[in-house]
Amino acid sequence: MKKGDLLIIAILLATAALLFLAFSPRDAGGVAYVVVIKDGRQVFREPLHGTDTHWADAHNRVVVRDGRVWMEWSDCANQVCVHSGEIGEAGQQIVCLPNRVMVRIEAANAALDGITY
Amino acid sequence: MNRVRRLVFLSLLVAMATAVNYLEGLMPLLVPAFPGAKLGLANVFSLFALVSLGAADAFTVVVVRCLLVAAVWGQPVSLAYSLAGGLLSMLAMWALIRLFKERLSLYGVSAAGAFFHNLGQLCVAAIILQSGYVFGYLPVLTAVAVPTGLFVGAATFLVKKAVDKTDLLKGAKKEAD
Repeated sequence: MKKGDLLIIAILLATAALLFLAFSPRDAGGVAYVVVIKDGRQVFREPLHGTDTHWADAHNRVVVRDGRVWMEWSDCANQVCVHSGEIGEAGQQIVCLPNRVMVRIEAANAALDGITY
Repeated sequence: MNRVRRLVFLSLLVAMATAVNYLEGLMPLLVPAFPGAKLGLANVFSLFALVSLGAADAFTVVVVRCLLVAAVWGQPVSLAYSLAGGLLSMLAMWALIRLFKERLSLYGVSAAGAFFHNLGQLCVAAIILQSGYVFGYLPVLTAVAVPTGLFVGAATFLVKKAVDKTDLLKGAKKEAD
């Protein structure tokens, strides 16, 4: 290992740390919402807390219970979404890439309202 | 090194990369907390091709491996992910070696390659999901790129050391690349 290698490692770790700070949710106060986005369109939006509900289509099933959210079932090949486990904080997300489904928890008044491009 | 010999060697690299790529896909998850993270062992063979045969052959290994994996096991969309990750990663590693050959070893090159692989895949994910939110995975994937990249770098180093002891690849490197 050379000095340049250590520099690359340091740059990567510093980038990771900065990105962690940049992406960490700034405001978890207020009402958080569970949002399901399929093919770029919002198909589900319910309050995170005090809800016992689910969203499902032919390919995925998302459960919202006691302030926790998880992908209960998916017909995709890799099952990464199902193995992602539970989320419960603003800014966290579960993604099922093969089915183009994204589950996000959004703070009602998040500092970051959205990213457009 | 004559053309047939070169072609056979390249085919072996593609075959091994394809097999390893598939086997890795069978393993559920490296660490459950990091959905989608994996070692990226197929990069051992493309990185080895880059340093032992040259850039053109390395890009060939990446593209043919992606095409084979997608054709045999993949869904149509998986080709977009693997090509974006593989090509961006190879481009970055090639540029780093060209620019800083004396100051870098396989470890740093491989770690940078792992990062750009993840970045490429997230870009495709952002396009497919039509949402920039997928970049929320970038911090974790950037941190994960360090250990996985170093592991792949170490594996490539060992492969290169073993092959260099033989005269299998004598004069194979195209310095013009």
